[in-house]
Amino acid sequence: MDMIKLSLLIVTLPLIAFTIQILVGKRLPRDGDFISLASIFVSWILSLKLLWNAFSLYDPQLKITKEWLWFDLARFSSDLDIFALKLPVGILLDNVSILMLVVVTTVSFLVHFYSIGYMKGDAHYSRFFAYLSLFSFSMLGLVLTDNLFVLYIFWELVGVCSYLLIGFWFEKRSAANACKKAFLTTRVGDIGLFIGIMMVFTTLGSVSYSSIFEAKASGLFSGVFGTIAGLCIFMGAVGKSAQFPLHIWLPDAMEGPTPVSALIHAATMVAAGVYLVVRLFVFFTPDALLTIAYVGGFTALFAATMALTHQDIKKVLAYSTVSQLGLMMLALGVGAYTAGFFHLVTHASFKACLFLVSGSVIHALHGEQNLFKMGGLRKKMPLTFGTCLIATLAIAGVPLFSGFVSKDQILAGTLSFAYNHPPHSLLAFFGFGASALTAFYMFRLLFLTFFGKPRDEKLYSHAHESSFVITLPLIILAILSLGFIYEKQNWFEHLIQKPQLIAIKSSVVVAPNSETLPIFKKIKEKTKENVDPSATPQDDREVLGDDVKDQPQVAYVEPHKTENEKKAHTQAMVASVFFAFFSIFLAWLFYIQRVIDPEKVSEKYKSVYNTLVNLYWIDEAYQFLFIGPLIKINNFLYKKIDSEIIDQGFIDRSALITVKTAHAQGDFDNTVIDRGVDGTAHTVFSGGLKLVRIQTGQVQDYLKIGLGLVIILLIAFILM
Amino acid sequence: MINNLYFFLTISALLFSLGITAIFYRKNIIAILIGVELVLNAASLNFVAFSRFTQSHLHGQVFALFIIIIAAAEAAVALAIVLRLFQTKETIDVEEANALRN
Repeated sequence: MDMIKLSLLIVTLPLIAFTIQILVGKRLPRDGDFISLASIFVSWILSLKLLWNAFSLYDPQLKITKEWLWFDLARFSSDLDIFALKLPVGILLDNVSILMLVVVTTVSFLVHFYSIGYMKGDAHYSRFFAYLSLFSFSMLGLVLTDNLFVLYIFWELVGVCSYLLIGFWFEKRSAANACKKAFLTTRVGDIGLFIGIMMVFTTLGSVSYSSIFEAKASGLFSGVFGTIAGLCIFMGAVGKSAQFPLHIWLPDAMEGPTPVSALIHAATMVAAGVYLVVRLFVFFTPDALLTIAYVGGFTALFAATMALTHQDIKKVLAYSTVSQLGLMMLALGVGAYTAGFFHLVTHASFKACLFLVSGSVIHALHGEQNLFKMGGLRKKMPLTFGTCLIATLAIAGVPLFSGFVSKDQILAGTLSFAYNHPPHSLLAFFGFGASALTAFYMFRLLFLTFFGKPRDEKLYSHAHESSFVITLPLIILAILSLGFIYEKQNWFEHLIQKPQLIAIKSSVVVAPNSETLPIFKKIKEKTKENVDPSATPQDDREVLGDDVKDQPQVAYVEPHKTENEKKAHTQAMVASVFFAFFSIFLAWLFYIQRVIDPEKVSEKYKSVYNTLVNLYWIDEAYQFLFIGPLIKINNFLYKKIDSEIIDQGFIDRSALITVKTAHAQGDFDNTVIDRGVDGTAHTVFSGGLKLVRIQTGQVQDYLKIGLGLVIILLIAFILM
Repeated sequence: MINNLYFFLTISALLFSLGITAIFYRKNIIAILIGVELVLNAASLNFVAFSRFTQSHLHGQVFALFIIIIAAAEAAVALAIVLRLFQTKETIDVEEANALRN
């Protein structure tokens, strides 16, 4: 089976599972959870197979596409060729999408598995799995598509799934509100995305990535128009990836079941915005990228400060997610393309792990989410604690863990950007500040949950380690959070390389090689065959070719680096390790040793603390600036326009007129028409009574009448 | 006088009037039948007279023969009806035969 068919199968399986689940799920044994689980499991295996294929090709330029025409409305616009509406659906398989596929299916499968334990006994168990399957389908479709239009469809589909799953426990008022908020807030961004897509479409008449890149390479979409188009598309990413100022929905989204938070609001859907920026990376103009960097960097630091004071375990993680997504955006904005996507991948595993850990803890504490009622759970839940520790070390950026590898690259990227463009040094500050705060608040969470004395004895006494179904995904995700997986021979940096415009323009569809070759072998031939001379900068290629000849085992060679980049790299590594350990130490002082009392600090800087606890009053500001006035306008429209003018003025009055005309018509009916009818009947009746007398029964009378008539006829005949 | 058409027509009209009067005003059903015979004879007298005094073939006279035959048949049928009436009502008064009234 070739790779295209494989990928089609990967997408369709969850859709089939969804259809079965939503139609007959409740009548199946175990509420049909095995159907969703099996479908996503097969998808997972197939995407691992795709990854294996990608590894065996080991080609940074790998690109397999296939398109089908969806609809063609050319004949409606014969006079305007450029608007000939031809919409293809297509599949684009390259290293980015394959890796993303693996990330999505892995997390999705583990979350499906975890949900069997976590959602056990829920009233809508089968529906939950149906939604999970629908989400997996939409997310995989979003990853695989090769044009913006189809991407938009799936983009909205994942939004709907998010809505459905956040409001899964819709009996709770807060959950019902949260899902509305999430949907509406992301909608704001989606409108930007839609405008962006339309800008592209009206310029090109096509929305496929390849045609966009070709147009970009030929000089279209530069200047202000390109920047605006790029920023409009980025607005979609801002909504979906919960960047400032549309970040407010993500913490509220924690009302959904915890597996959903792990899958949708940590690992996959919120990363869709980052994925979109990765996909369209070359489309963005330098100005647009700078804006992306600033939005991302600001969000990273801003969200990290809000995570410092939150007491709800899931909300801390939610703000942490916002912050990490901001870091990814920052990386992409400063041009650290590989680092941004790398962080997406590593973040998916450790953040999903953290969310699942929080789910395990919440499960053990019977729904308690307040950090200050936990504590000391280390001994009771050793597996959960161990995995949490690994994931926390990973997110904090401690060496040997995956977060270090990717975050270090991001920081190096921002630092070298700052060296090259000194006016934008603020970006580096955002990056370092966010990662230092990350280490602090994550260890705060860890210490408060698992260390110290239990703060609530009753809860503590009931706590217990979760079942195997819950801990197994934790263990797998924790293993995926270890650094060596990603560091080995720098495969990631080799596979995911910053796209060059020329490279994209001249890229040829590579015939899929279905024979899987042993990993890391035959690289020499592959690189020679498939790398187009113009694909990578000339000097890199020389180095690559020579090196490959000498040591075929080494897959990746450090690309040519400028002095600034080298300097930035070492500095960033030292600084990030220092910040990480310093923050951990600080958290240790705060929450374990109690050398510094958090209460006293918050007392001392009361205004700062209040600002943080109230999340900078952003929700209130939105309430005041947008929602309040909107509601007022709506109320005005409702009271004045709707109920007074339209209801009372038009509808009531027209009703009155109708009633009156109806009465008049009734009168007319009763007097004129009815009397006419009655009169006719009466005349006929009385006439009949009169005529009855003719019929005497006497033959002679009849004859007389007959004779009389004959005479009349005769006279008439003669007269005529 | 005997060679005049109007003489015959006058006789025929008189016969017809007498017959019609008998039909309309006699209550005895036999008398009515006689009236009918008078009317028929008036008609055949007309046919014969027109045949004689106009330039035609013998169509009128043939018709007179037909009428005589039909009158015989009619008398037979009518007398049968009279007999049936008398058997049921035991009278030959036409005013008694009023079952179709109203």
